[in-house]
Amino acid sequence: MDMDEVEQLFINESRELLEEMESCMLEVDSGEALMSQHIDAIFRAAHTIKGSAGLFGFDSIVAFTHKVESVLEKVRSNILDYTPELSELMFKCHSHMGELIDELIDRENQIDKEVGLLLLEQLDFYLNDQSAEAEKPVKKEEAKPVIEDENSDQYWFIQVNYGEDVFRDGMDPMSHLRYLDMIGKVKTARLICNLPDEGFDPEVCYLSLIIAFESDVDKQKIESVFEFIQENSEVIINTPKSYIDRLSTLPSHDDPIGQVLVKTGIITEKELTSALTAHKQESDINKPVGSVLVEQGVVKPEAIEAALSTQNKQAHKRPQELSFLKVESRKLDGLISLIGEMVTSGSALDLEIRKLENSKLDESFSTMLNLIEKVRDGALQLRMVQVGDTFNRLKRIVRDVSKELGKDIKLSISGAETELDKTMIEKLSDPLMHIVRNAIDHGIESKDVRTYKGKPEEGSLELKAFHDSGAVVIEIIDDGAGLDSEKILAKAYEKGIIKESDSLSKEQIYKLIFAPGFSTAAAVTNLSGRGVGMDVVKRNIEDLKGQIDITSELGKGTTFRIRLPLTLAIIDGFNVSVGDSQLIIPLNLIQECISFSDEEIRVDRNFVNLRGDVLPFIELSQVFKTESSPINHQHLVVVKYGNRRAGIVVDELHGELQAVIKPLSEIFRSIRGIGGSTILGTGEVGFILDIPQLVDMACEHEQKGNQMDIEKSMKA
Amino acid sequence: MSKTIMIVDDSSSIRQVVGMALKGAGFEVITAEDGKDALSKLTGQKINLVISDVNMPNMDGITFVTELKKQAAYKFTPVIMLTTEGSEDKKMAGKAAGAKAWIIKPFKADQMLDAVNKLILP
Amino acid sequence: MAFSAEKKADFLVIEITEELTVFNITECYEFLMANIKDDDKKVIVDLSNVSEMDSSGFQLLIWLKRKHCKGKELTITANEDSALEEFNQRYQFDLNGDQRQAAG
Repeated sequence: MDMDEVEQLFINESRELLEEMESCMLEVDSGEALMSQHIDAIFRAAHTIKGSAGLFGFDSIVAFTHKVESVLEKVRSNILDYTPELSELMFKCHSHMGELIDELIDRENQIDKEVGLLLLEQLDFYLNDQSAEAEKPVKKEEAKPVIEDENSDQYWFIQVNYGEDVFRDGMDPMSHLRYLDMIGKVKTARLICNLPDEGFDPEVCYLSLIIAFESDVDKQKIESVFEFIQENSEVIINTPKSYIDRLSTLPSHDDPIGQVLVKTGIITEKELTSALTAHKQESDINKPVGSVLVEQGVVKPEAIEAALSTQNKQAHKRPQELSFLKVESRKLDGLISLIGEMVTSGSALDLEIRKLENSKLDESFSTMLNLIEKVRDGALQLRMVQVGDTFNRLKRIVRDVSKELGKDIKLSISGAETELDKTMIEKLSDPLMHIVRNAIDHGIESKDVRTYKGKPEEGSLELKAFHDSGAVVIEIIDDGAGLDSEKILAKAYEKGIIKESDSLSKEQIYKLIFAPGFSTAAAVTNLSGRGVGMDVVKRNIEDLKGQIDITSELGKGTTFRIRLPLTLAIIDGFNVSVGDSQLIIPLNLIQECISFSDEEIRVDRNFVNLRGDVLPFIELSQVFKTESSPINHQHLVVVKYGNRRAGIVVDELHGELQAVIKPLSEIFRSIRGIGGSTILGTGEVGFILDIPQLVDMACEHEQKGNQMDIEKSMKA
Repeated sequence: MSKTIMIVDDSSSIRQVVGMALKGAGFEVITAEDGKDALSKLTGQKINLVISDVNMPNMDGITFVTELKKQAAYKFTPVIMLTTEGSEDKKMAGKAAGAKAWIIKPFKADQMLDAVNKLILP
Repeated sequence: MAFSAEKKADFLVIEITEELTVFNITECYEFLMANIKDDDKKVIVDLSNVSEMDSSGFQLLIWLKRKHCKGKELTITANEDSALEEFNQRYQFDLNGDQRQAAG
């Protein structure tokens, strides 16, 4: 191993540590985790980077990281509070550390040392301030238990302050006591009656009840006893201490603290939701959700501590559960390309063996083919990576951008575990980043505008990934202003992208924003205006054989939907032919094959009636200008892409095969409808059809056809 | 003295099943097919609880509850509304009319009994 | 008549029958306001024949004890099998006893 390689190792390791550090800081920032849970990991990241940097003599990194580490050390030993200001500073330091490491790769790229100096000064402020801070005792969360009793270990304590309409609504506190006795035992009940001195109204309820209750049901069940009076009454339920003991027997899992408490029946979903809401409004972002729960009086600090200890237990376990092996991607690519060859020669061999008509040989070879298929799937699986990491990177962007623009944005992520080919993930990161920036910058309105429009002040941005019929779909959904089709049209016309006479559907209008040279925002901020337009986004997605669609509702928000194939290397295909051309249709897009006679093809229309549905179709012989065989009997392959269907007219069906996708050479790139090529078992070249494009073409055709019909009938 | 519950629903199977469950638990049960039918059967006799569907022919549940609450004898009678998931506006209207308890359809007989028990016991 | 008031020697005896629920609570309240006068120093409320009662009725009794009959000698009586009994037990509240227990 030479020095360069070792250095590369340091760079990779540091980047990973920085990533971990960032994700921990983000979790603390968003309140998902407590600082006390992550401080060790954050500290360790800084510490390790400093240590290794020293080994290589990267003094500037050592000097800077040392200060960061010292401040973190103080946080770790509870001398310093991790305030929002400190959190902000740590994010900046984290970015700077990243820049210092990037500098190692590209030494030409000198970074701004002033930034670092400024940060060091700020860090010093925290380090020197220690005398003042040290006197402040370590923060203790004090709980105000609603009711204290010597027997509180075993009993639930329930306090109900009944609303004044309880009697008028036909409700009766007595029925609650009766009901409680059905699911447990009411030990003591204290009735409190706050009668007014003047103006007593016998129909108004002035009652409160304090109940000591013995039962092993969960808190949710107890809360449900009061479900019908909850709107106007106040119900406080204190969980018995014995429930906290349940936590110690809990099997380990990854749930956040709130969920753990709900699961053990110590708090209810509702209480958690309201605590989380309150938590978001907290000025002190470092305040854990747990202490909000304590403040709201729904849970005692012991319970939080016990729940936390189960979480810590899990944190220790994690490294053993997931072990990774690092493999150079070059080696993996080599393996996959070999497997590709194997698949191809396998199909060639299959053809030869079938000719021999030897059943024993057939049988054992089909086992072999089966294995090849599994090896192929396994190898492709190696390249699959969860999109979660990419999403996490977007978290930081959302945080930074929204802060800079003064917008409050709630980012929710789902389907982070969805897997995609690694090369795709890498190429996806930029377009996603761009769409997200755009959504925050231009999509989601400013707080004032939102309040004025009657929307919640906090904007919402959703990232979703999921599987949909052999493709991966990624959605970026915002609840912002939506796209204004009129404005887009006007702009596109002004820029000469369209002619006035073009009549376009809403979807087509939205797609204009992907046209080169189009930019919707009047003011280009330094965030979105990085010289990359939406046209680059579209091109990137199309390079990945994907498609991007926009749906939008003015005033309600916009959804960007990206559909991507699972992998770029090998597909299950269906072999058809038109004339002498061999063509492959991706199998997962095929719905059915039906026979199709010439009489049904009508020259003026491009659709057939498929069991009552209008199905646009396209004739490949016309698209590719090949000679169609003279036989009358043709086949119609019904394909579905997204929510659109179309028929593809072919001459012959040949059956399923595995196609190793070879990229098309330059001369074929411009042909619409073809996405790649493959070598068939016979040695012939087969073209892989680009179904999304063909479906588009078929639908366009059909629309034009319709328009012509209408025009004709108008003239007549 | 046993308590009386009125069930108002246009589905005879719901009337049957809920009726049987409630009778089994020791309640007296009166049934009606819709709001109009229910009002005609209410002649001032004591009713401890009304369970009413929302969507019914002739007179819907919300109109029925509004009318019910106008009568002195039933002014304070608790009402359980049977709603379907997501009909938040119906729920609000029902609330305004005076129905303070809900059960979301579809429900099982013991869920119904559980809700009834939170309001009255036989 | 569900309510009656009768002077017996020093005592004002009030009898409530059938029910004491939110449906007739206002009526009952008005009856008590009208019939218990300042110079009635000893009051007995007889609930032996109340077959149906709810918490609004119980609340009215508390009001009677604490507010309306403050400074008077008030006795609330009922049979062991009357509706009141369940309220006495479940609420663990002694209407005739020391006020301390009901403080709050």
